[in-house]
Amino acid sequence: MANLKLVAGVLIVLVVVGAAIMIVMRGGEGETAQSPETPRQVVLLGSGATFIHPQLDKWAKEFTAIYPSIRIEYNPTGSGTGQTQFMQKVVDFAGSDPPLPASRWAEARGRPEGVIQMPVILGSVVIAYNIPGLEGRLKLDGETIALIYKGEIEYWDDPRIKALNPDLKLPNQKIVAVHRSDSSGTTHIFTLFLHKAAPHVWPKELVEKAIEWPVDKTGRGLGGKGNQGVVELVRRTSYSIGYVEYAYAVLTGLPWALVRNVEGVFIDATPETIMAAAENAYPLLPPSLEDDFNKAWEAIVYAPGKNSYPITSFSFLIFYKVYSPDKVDAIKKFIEWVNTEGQKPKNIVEGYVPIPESIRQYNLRALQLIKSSG
Amino acid sequence: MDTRRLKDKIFTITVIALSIVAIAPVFHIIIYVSYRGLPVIVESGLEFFTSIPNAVTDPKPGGIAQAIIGTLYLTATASIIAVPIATLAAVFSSEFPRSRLTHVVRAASRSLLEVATIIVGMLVFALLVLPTGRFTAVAGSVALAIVMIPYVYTYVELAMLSVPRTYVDAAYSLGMSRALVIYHKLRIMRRGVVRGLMIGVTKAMGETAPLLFTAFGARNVLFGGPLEPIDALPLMIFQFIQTGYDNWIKLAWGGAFILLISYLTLFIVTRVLVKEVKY
Repeated sequence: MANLKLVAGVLIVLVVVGAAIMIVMRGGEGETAQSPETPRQVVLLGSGATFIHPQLDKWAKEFTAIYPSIRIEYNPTGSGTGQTQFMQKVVDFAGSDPPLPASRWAEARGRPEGVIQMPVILGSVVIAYNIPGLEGRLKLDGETIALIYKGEIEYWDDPRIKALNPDLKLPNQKIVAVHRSDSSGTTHIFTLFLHKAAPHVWPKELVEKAIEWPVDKTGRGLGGKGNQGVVELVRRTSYSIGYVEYAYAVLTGLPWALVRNVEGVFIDATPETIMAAAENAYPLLPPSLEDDFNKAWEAIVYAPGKNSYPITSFSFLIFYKVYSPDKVDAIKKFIEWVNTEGQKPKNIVEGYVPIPESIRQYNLRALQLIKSSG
Repeated sequence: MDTRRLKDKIFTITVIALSIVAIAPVFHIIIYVSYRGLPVIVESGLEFFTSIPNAVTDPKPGGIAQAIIGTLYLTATASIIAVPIATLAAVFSSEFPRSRLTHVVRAASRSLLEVATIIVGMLVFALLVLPTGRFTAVAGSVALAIVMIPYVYTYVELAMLSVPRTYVDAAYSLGMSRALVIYHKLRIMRRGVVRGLMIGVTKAMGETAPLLFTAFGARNVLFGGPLEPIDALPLMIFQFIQTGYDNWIKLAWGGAFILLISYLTLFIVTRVLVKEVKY
């Protein structure tokens, strides 16, 4: 009897699963075979930075709504993996917070497929804090932040912080400095800012995606995984400070500090001030999209200009110069759309900042560069 | 009350308390995942099972149909590849325990169990993705099959070996052929065999690492076919939960709930259907 039941059970499961797969397969075919003139949907695969993922997914959906014959799939594997997969030619484009390192760029440039990089969206890092009972907005500069993360400023009412905030009632409490425990582009931008703003306090050796934090040795440092981990720690730890991606911070409601820029102005991170930094870094972009972008990427951090928020960064998309005939038009349409319609407020996700008009025009030069292999 | 009884009581209570502590995490997972996941499914309704995820800007989260379809497809195809290979290998090594090939298979299976599944993903990436220049559902199926094989093999072999020798001798002395004996051994030990299959299937359903570099994930289509990238529940949960956006975090919890329900159903159904053989 048990045997019969077993056989019946297995049969039922098989039939159900089989039927489901059949339905799904037919549904899928129906969807890929769109209309007579576009027999197959072109799929563009991207991989890389997690930062750009929600924004790129928004773009992908809006883009496909207009061009149903093209579908874009993006996998948030991290900037490093995205670059590697770009070099291995298993994706159609990559997303990366920093541009290709000089050596990788040179290798890609030398290959027949070539390489084109472009900054498509802006990010920035804010200094979030948790000081219970504090009224008013905290002001900081690169040097005090560097000293906090070095462990040399120990208390919130340190004279060096007080000097920047004469009108605030700062408590006599120890500062807990929260940082990322994982390797991250956010850490890279943040430490680059500290070095550029206070080179005598923060040496070049401490500019990296992951570093040994000096403050950890004093026991007042804490590491969190991802933006999420840092936000959680800052929220839970009174009298703490932490650096967080702007796109993430706007969703959390934590207060963040005004940061002094090159011109000596204490400035808030807003879409306008972040865009101003990009506008001021625009003249430092390389002459061609095929060039090395590392200098430009460093230039936007602590960029000149009264209105520039100092901890701002570009996020890049990396393309080939040559595509197969079936993909070349799709890629061009996507690049064109991202740099025109895609930058309009209705297509920008909350927390992301569009690139200024000048850089959009700059990016559109790619349309002349990209060629078909056939 | 005498001290012996008292000691006995204390011991019993301690054992019960410790057992509760041991299984508490399981209940914690079930309760917490339901608490976070169930409201999402209620909120989205049928759309949760029929649509793809919405953009983060959308007021509603949308659905996870592509991930459910992907996990069903990947698990089914991985099982189709893995189960025959693993079962045949297990039958072979239980029938010829002294063969040199058995030693090799056993060693290979044991080391596969030890290998981190991300390595399996990278191996399949090097063998199937790099040469073709394409992430595919097929690569995902193969990677999951490799993850499944050692589990199914180990459990089925164990089941086969635990058939009492006297039964086998009796079968042969009645003039049964070897094939028939093997069939009856599998039948007697079906509970163990099915348990092996279930462990393999659940393992494949819950894996993220081997899919990262093979199936890749495709969230803007329900099903793109075997030669296109494909999504899976664990992959989607992993990538959505670390974003800051409500929509995607909700979908991740909803997906986790679906995965949990699938596990529980699989285990309960096989427990009920496959009865222990009394002998």
